[in-house]
Amino acid sequence: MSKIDDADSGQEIDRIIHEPARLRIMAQLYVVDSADFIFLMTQLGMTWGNLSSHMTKLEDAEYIEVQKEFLNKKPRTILKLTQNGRKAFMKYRKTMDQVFKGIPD
Amino acid sequence: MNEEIDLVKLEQATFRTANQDGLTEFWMGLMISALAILLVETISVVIIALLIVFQAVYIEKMKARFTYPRIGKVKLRGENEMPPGYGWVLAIFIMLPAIASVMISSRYENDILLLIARWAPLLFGIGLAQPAAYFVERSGLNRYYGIGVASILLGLVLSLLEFTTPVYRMTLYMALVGILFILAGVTSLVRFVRKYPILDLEEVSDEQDR
Repeated sequence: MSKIDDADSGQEIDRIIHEPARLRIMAQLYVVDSADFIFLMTQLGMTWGNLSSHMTKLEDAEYIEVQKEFLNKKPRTILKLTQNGRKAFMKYRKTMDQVFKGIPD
Repeated sequence: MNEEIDLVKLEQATFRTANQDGLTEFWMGLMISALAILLVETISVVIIALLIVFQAVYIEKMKARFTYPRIGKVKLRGENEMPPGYGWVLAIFIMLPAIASVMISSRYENDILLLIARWAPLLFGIGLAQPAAYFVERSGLNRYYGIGVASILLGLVLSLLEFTTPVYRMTLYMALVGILFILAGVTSLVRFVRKYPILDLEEVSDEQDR
């Protein structure tokens, strides 16, 4: 798993989640039980190719699970955060909170 | 930066997107209208039973036809669970006796029963404030309070007006509220269908691959 060391805070920033598009996908999946590909595309304003490539990276990191189902004889891709993904997202939030904690206004 | 608030807003935005098809309002309208018919025609209890039993199947079929091909499918957290909170229990304890008092008052004459039956529209309106508050919390849209306030005001007005029997008063109230919900649902559905064209994921993906 790709991580960035933040020397000052002593925390590791998860690079998989840190990428803005993937962070938005993770946040979106965090607040729902599951969502399909079309919903994520429309809700996040991402293209098929962009979402697909980020989906593969998140799936490789085992942060999301991808299921295929058929609706009205058409294939549908359902995405869901795994337990690992949920934990990693919470950890990322805590890490970022720590990173920004000491910074003056 | 407040991550907590952002996630709450994201969840509310997701709820709004998932429910903009108006099917929830439409279904609530059907249920309330069926209850209105029940007050004058007991056979409609069969309609209500069918609506409740096949609710999940009908809504899923409607969503599969109108919603999913346009904005995709999302399963919200806790959407198949009964919403928590004493407000729902309180709402049921207000609404059920209100309807029961109207039905029984047509068979038995009793002063207390008639008093409750007279104010049944107002009580039912107060009960409807709970789902309105629930929708405000889930969607972040204060306009749902409007539905609650309108239900209470309509209930108050009809409770103050003179009718020959409490049954007519309550039937009119529930029919009006039911029709309002159905109209709101149909309007939202028409707007939704016009706003979002049907997406063909295969076509979209082919375009991207080219």
